[in-house]
Amino acid sequence: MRPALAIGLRVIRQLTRDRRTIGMILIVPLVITLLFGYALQGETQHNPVIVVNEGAETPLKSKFVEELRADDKVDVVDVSGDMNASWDRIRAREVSALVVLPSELSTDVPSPPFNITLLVYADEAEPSVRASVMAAVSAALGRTVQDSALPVQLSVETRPVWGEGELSGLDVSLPGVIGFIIMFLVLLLSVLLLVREDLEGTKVRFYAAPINRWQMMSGYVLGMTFFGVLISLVVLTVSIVVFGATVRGDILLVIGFVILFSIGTIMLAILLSRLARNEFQAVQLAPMIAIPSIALSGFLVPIQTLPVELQYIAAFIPLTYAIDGLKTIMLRGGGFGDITLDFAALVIYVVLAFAGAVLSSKETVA
Amino acid sequence: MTNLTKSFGDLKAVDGVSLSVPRGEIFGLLGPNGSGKTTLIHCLMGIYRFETGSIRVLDHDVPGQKKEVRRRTGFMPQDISIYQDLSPEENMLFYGRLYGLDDGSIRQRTHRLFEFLDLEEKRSVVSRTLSGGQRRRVSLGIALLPDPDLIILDEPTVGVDPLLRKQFWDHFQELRDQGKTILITTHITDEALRVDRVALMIRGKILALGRPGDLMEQEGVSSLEDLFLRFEGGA
Repeated sequence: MRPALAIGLRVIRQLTRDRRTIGMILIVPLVITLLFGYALQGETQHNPVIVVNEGAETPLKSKFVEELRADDKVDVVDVSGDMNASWDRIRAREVSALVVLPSELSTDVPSPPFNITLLVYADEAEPSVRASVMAAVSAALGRTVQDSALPVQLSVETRPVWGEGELSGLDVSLPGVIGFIIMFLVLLLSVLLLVREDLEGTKVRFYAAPINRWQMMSGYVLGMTFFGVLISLVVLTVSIVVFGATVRGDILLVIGFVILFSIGTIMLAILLSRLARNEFQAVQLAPMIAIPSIALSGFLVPIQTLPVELQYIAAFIPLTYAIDGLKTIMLRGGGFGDITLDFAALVIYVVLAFAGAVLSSKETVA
Repeated sequence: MTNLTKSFGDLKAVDGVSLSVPRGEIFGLLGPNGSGKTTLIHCLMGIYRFETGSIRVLDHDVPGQKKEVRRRTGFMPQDISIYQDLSPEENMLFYGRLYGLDDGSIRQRTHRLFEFLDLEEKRSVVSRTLSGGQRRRVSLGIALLPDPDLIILDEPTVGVDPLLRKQFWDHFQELRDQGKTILITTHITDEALRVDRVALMIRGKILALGRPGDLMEQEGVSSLEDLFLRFEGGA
């Protein structure tokens, strides 16, 4: 028993001597738990929708719109008679759904069909938004017809916005999974590589070489981008070949976008590696960045379900833009013109992280 | 260097040191562990910033012109500091490229240095599999690769067997005869006898400076070890 006790005490003593590790052991779980607690308690509310009215305005339709407006799950931003214009707006992602009211939805129709179906065109890339809109529409419809003598069977159906078929749960998750894996692995690999340079004593000799920090940083980025690309290609290939992931857009655009994200993450790793003095600290840095990113980037829950203050934080998380861009290309079939905001955000990420990496790296050790 | 001071917090690692080393000399910095020798040479290379004083190396100011100084200086750190996952040859290629050498010259010089360092048979194996002494030889090879005018060696013979140590010193003397300047740190008093001049550094200060024989005579001691112990006790 004494040897076991000695080992146990040695481990505790060893870890408690490393103040940064202890800090991370205590602070990281606290921050992550708080973030997830706040992030996951919300539900999708105030999803912007347009009600498209086919045919004449009727009291029943007005009642339905009134009921729908009363539901917090949706914000009826417009009631329009123009399907084409509304369609353009949902494709421009101004709204999350179109609720189409058929002309038969009226007590005045002389011989209405037995079945009337309300079509809801909702962004299939955001299933929880879709479910929330569907719940609001069904409830509003139920309340609308409960007092009327409409002798018909009413139903609500969803239709995709971005493609012919429906997307599976796997399809919808993959952009987030790809973004997360790349962020986590690239971050971990890069931080460990840089910390090892310090631990193996090569850093001093490296610092004594006749090169400047720009050359040093560019060299690191070049070498590690190779692995960032490799990781990206493995994740994409397995997703598509093994799981049949849907890629509605240009696969080369997906690859290019993922490489851009990897480069930014490598720069971030260079910056973070200044905080880690040993492997213990290095391996904790990757989850410290990656896990809050999962909570806030739209990977687990849509950003609009987060409390408002967390939505502001989400806007500063690179994974938010990586996932949105990947969703747009892979699930919405978007081209470069559709991801300009995400692309610009990632370019800013790369520039800021590079500047941070260069400024934090010194040609002098102390 | 003149009046050089470098502190870490409250600790003055280098305390008002002034030194001048002429070209073509083997200059030894003798001192116990923690005496400030490594800090001093890190300041010389522009790796550490220093608080006061000035440094001029090979007609260039440090840190202002440290890149020029580094280009003409071969440096062997105290730690083995080679990439363990690369072979000795790959390490040489990497560092040679950092010094702006073309691949042909690097290969040529590597071949010559590995013959001298007895590393020819090990040139392609992963450095992790080499013995400590072999890794130290690779480290020395890297320092000599750019054919530098100034060679700074921080405890180069630690863990090296006596035969190789003798070969190292013979080579250092050959390099000196070719006009190279060598600054070498050591805590081994026997080794300090081989240098042209030695500075005894204790607790960040230079307490004695001169030819080893002259110093022993001045202090009336029969060995550098006695000199070392006398100053170490009185510092």
